[in-house]
Amino acid sequence: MLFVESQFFLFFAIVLTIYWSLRSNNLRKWFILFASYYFYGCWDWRFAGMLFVLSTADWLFARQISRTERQRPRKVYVFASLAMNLTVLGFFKYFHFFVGSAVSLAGAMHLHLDEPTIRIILPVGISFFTFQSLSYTIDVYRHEIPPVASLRDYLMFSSFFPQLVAGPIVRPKYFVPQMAGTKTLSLDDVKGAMYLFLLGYIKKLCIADNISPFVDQVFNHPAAYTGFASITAVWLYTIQIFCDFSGYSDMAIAVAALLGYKLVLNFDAPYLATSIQDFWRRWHISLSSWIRDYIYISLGGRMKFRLLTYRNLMLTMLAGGLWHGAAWNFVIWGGAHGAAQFLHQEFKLHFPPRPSQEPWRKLASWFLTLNFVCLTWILFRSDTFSTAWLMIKRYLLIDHGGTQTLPLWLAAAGPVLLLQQLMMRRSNFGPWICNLSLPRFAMVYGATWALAVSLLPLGYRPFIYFQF
Amino acid sequence: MPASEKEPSWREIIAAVSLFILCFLLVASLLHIAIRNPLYLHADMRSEKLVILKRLKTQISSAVFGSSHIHNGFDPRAFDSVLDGSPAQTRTVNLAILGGSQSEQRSMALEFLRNLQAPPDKSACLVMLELNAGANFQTGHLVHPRSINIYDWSTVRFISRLKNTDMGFAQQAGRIGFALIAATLHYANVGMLSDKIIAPPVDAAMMEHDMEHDRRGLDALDYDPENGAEENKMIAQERGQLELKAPELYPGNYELIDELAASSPFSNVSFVYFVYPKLTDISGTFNYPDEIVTPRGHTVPIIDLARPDRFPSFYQAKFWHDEAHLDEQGAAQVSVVFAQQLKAWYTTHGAPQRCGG
Repeated sequence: MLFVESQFFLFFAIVLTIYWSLRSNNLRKWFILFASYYFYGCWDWRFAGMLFVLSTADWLFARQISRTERQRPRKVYVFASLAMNLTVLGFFKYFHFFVGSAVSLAGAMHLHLDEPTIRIILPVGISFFTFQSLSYTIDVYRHEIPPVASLRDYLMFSSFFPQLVAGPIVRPKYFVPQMAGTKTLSLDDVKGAMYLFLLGYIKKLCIADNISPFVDQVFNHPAAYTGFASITAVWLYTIQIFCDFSGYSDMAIAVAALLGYKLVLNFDAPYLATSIQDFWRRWHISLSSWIRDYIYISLGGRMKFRLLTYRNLMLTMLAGGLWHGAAWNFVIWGGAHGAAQFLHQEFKLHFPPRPSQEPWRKLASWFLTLNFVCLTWILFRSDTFSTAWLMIKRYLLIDHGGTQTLPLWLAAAGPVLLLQQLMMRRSNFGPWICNLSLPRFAMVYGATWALAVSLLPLGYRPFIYFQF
Repeated sequence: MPASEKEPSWREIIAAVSLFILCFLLVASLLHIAIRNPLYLHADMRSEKLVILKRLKTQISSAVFGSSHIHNGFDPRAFDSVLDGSPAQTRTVNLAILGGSQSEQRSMALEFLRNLQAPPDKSACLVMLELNAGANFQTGHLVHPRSINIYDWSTVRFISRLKNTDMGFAQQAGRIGFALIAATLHYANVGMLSDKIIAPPVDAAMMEHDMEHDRRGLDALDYDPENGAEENKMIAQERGQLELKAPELYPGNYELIDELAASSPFSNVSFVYFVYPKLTDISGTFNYPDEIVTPRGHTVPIIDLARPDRFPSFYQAKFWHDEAHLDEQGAAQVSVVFAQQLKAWYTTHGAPQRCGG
């Protein structure tokens, strides 16, 4: 059940009606818990059972951690939680990757190993809910939050359906306090949520899914396309992945808001970033802050010796890459982003910015950052290394390619959408829409929906980030 | 919703919902007018068939419509070769489409007639329709441009006439329900604007396959020996157990002919209904009349080829790709018999007049 499917609209209409007709907050929480497990069970009931077991175990581990101040048992329980979550994640997501890599390595050493023939189904959203659950036990261990007293409340936090399968990754210290007290919604909240849902819907279906066939064409047959078509396809993919994922996040935030809950902002105009570090402050913010707080800081964070800091940075980015997918191209993608941050830090150290260089230095930084991000998306999108290498050569104008082209106007889509994003930020478009009077809002909303449904693609594709 | 400092009254909420609907309808109507002929928006295999129609429209005078059985099983070359030199001489194109329905067949036939030009020779203009194609598309195709783009009110009206008193309530409701949902999506222009802006190109490989060797739209299939073994077994088991059932003929079948005749640019276009064979016919099939007469007096022959008792030679595994679809050899064989049956009907009922004359 995806946010863009008619089943979800029906499901959510029923959920909203029942939820707001319940008077007690306790009943509402029970109801959301039931709805969340139903939502997840629509994919596979067995994995709903697994989610329940993992969440219950983490709740118990956190309780045990909080019951003692002795360091040793606290460590034992937090490691047990880490081991459980990472084992489940490793088995479902990385089993084939690690075994396949071991078989390839053995092959390179002239040893023959047979790959096991078991087929493992990846539970949808596993990377999101295991990370979310891990952050709970670690936060309790670090004394950053008290444990959640009620198992029901914890199960609701860990399975909250708007963000269960593709984020944003919600921290318990942000979400759990919201569960206390009966919720109310103002008209402005409703208008804001409805606007955000429609914005996400348009991003995902009208933009990402409509350009996806052109991207697929080129990435599936890269040799056939001209260099310019290949560059266009990379730009289009840059738009597609942003609209796909941020569209999902917008819808998730909107759905949660209609239930009276606030989720964290996940994207903040990432393609306007002026450095890779800045990019990661704007792209998938809930993940980048998670890996910063739980991996980078755990490794020691910023250290006295620059090289150690860079080591921590690189390990964090490699882990971030691997989180995105069980394949070497994701690891390399993470590594490239780590290396770029390290180079940027060194550059700033040796050539510190001077006021006289503004705004040209900023403009050049933005241009370089954007093109670096585009270039590394090639690794993200390519099915094979040979495709990735060919597309990278095309992007760097080393290879001129074949004869097939894409419609010329598609090349303008990137700059136009970038400009539109800039204009929407400058003009405060979102707040302007939400400040309209109810009748005006209803009119604009109706007209925009009519336009949006006429712009639906021939067949929609699953959200890219669901595979993670 | 619970109380808050700015909670609107029920009256304001109802007014807002009404304004939402009103503006939605207004913009959707304007877009619908701007989009114009949605039949030509990209819609899977139909787009390729429409390109074939446009390409051949100056050379052809007749067309066959229907579903996959015809798309894979009607060979225009074999059909025309039998009628060559006769008063019913034709130059035919295969405009049947995989997974097609009565609704799509109607839209394609109307489009064929819109494009019909008077043939320079003595050819007849024939519109040949599959009598027993499904009324609507399969449920999976409800939210698909193949159905969304053609379900206007006239299509809904046509579908609503494809029922009779023998039909159960659930089937009637399902049939009309599909049409109404598809029409709602049609008038909401679902996917139409994106189709207009970024339509995918037509499938060049499919076009080439269906046009090479003068196939004129026939998607010829190969004989599949694996299926063949199963088919031989089935034929041996089922032969001799033929049960003839009462035919399913609906008011819509009759009225469609009148509608097509009324929209035809020439008064002497001839219409033919036909039923194509499937291997499963050997255990049971329908007993259709030889002809029907429409409310406006058009006599339309029904060429029933799904009769193992009349055409036992069709029911040999070598003619079939699978249980429901003929292979290339079978397509030629059945098309020849089709033309012979039609020629015989014209001999007794009078040949069609020269088209456009």
